This record gives sequence, C-alpha cells and structure tokens, in this order.
Amino acid sequence: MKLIIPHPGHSLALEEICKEATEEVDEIYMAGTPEVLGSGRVTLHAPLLDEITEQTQYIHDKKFKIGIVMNPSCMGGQHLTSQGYNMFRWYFGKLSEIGVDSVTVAEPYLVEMLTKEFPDIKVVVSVISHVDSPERARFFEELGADAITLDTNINRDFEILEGIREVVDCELRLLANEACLYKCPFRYSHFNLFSHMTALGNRPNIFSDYYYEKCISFRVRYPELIIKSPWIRPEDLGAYEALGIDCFKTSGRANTIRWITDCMRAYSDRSYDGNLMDILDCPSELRDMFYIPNKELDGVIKQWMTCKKFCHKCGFCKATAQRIIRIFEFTDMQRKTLPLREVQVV
Amino acid sequence: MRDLLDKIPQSRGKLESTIRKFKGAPVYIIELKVFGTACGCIGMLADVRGLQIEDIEVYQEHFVAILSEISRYIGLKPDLMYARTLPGSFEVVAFTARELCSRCKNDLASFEKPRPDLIILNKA
Repeated sequence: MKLIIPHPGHSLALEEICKEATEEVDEIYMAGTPEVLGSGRVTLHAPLLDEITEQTQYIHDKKFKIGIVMNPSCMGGQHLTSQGYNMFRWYFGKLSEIGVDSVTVAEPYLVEMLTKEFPDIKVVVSVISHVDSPERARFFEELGADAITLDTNINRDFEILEGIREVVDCELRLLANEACLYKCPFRYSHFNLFSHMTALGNRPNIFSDYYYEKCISFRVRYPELIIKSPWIRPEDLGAYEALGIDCFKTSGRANTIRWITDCMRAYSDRSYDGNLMDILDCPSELRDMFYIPNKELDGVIKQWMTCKKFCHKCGFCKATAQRIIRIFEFTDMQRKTLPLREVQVV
Repeated sequence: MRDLLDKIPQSRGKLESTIRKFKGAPVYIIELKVFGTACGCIGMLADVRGLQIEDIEVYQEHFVAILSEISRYIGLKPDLMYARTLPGSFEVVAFTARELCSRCKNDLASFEKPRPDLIILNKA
C-alpha cells in the first residue's frame, strides 16, 4: 500500500508531518503558487517557489516524494491564451528544475502539456477530473496521465473500479476520506467557486459559501447521507488492493497537523477505533454533532461491493444510520450521546 | 465573568436540545457567541444548521420562548430577536437576540423586514 498525504503548506507543518510519517507514506502533497493557478480546495498557505524548493529538498532528504496540486476546475480559458501558456510553461519548468516529483492537474490540456514538455514530472489526474468510467480513464491515459485519482463517486462501485483497472496501465489512486456527498449536486459548482477563490485576481467577494453551508445542512437533516457518502474505511483498504488498486490518498490539507497525522496513522494501521467523523474531511464540522462508532461498520463493505445505487429501493445506508449513529448532546456541562432514533421522529 | 463564560456552552446545548425536541429532528448549533459591536449593541448569536424558513414559520413561538429564556439566563434584555437566512435560499443560518443601540434601533427595529435575509421573530 502507498499513502499520499496532505500538507497545509507551511514548513513547520511539514517538519511535524515528516516526523510522524509512517512507512506507508509515499508522497506528501500541497497546493502550488496562487499567483499562477488556483486550486480545487481551500488553501491556507500557498508556498512560493523558494519555499517549494526548500520543502522539496527537505521531503527528499526524508525519502518521501513531493506532489504539487494545481487542480482548479475552471481557469476561465486563460490556459489557452499565449500569456497563460507561457506562464504555465514557465512555472512547470521551475517545478521540474526544483525536482518536484508529481503535479496534479484537473484540466485535460495541462495533462497533455505536462506530458509533452516536462516528461520528468509525474502527471497525476485530479479527482476533480471526475474519472468515473473505463472510457474516461483511457482518455486521460491517452493524454499522458501517469496516475489517475478516481472520482470518489465510484469508490463503492467495484464493477467500474475493476473495469478501469482492466483498461489502463497507469497508477490508480483513491481518495479515501474526502467524504463529500454521494452524487453531490453542488460538486461542480463548488469546485468552480474554489478555483476562483484560491487564485489571485478577480476573486469574487462572496457573502457565503452557499454550497458548503447547504451540504452541512443536508447532512444535519438527513444523517444517512453521511453513511451514503463514498468514504473508504481504513479497515476496508484490502478490498481495493484485491482489485489491484493500492494507492490511497487522504484529503484534508485545510485541517490541523494533528488531524492530518491522525488520519495518516488510521489508514497506515488499517484500523480506527473511534468516531469515524474524526477522520472524514468534508463533514469535519459535524464531528461534534455525530458520533459514528467506526468499528460498528465492520462488514458493511460486503453490501457496498454489490450495491446497485438504487437507494430508494434498498434502504441499507438509512437503516445503518438509524442503527449506529449517535448524536452529541451537551447538558450540565457534560457531553453525552443519544441514539439518532431518539432525536429523529421518523 | 467566569460565571458568564460557563453559561455560554450551557446555553448552546440548551438551545440545540430544545429545538431538537420541538422539531423532532437533528439540528446543530455550531457556535453560540455573546458579542458587543462597535456601534454599541450587545447580544447573542447562534450559528445553526439544519433549519429552513418553514421551520421558523411553524415554530416561531417556540424559538422566541427559548431565545428569551437563554437571554434571561445570560442577563441580556433583547430589543430584537431575528433569524438570518442565506440570501436566495431556504436555509436559516443564525439566530440573534440583541439589545440595540439607538442607530440600530432605527435601522433594524423600525421595519417589519429591515433586510431581505432577516426574519424578525420578536420586538420588545
């Protein structure tokens, strides 16, 4: 198994992460420079080239690889202008000189450009490219991808995963703990928003992150959505390795160092005895509302391996939510948990 | 002062559990803050997830009752209580109970709907 873990970007975090890194860790990734290109996620510290140089050296000294993530879903067409092309070419050239091991991009043009002009850099297709079928995977491999991070929506679709493994030779990566909503209606719009929020110039002055707030509200109203969302438990990595997929990426570069290293350890140990919410990225705001005893989910992978995704006919995830989810309540200066069914009048 | 600080998490928990009980559904109070603004208002603000505008319409009296109870508990005498929505959506994202300064009395308390994103729950 290879683990690919996030890094918030500042050098103190990198030192701590490297100090605690397990032997399963293969690559550490962070956002690139916002002056050049935005990113698909919240970026708290985006290092400039000097910092990337120092951190690359540091990571290599510790015998890990470094990945730079530059995966906005929208670049407003800038990449296809002469100015944009020259800027990206210059920047990727710098990353190549520095010795960065991989660059993750979502834009198909950048996949091909990196492949053609910087063959020393490993080209990784982002989860934001939504590779969810053998045909789409083949398409990106044809463009030159060395690795593809698969769409999280197929994390529990073993037939498609197997099909993709059959048709491409490149490395396949699974994002294990992103835990966005399954078939989220906001996914494209939210990534587009982040693309512009994380890039310099013309940043929209938004009154609210509508998609995030709506996402959290959905989960509060319908807690079964947390069970349906396609995270992969640390205990279930073996089911994917059996398909020939052994690279697992954890998300959460906007979280604290401790959170990142706790997730890393859970996936390295292939076991987590605690609240599953503590190791899921997207709904981490809800870790003080829901308690999901991870060990009580042992065996559910068997259902999901053959899941047809007709939730309206199945009801397995909803019943699982009712059975195991507990809700935190704070009374008399103490936190306790109540079963979901005591709070939710069905 | 410590007494007030201890009352804040208790009030957050009380608000959350009370709403859950009368609505019969999970609701999440992310944070409850006691604030003082530059203009001179003081108040309490609770960030909430899981509620929509129709909940306010159905349970308005219940919301006023619990916000009043918590206000009394922390020593606040609110002139105005309101819910804030996410503009353009059905989501309710915060409750505020506020003792108003003279300017805000004029700005906020003089109208039925002073801003499109605010739902006035109660005026003193």
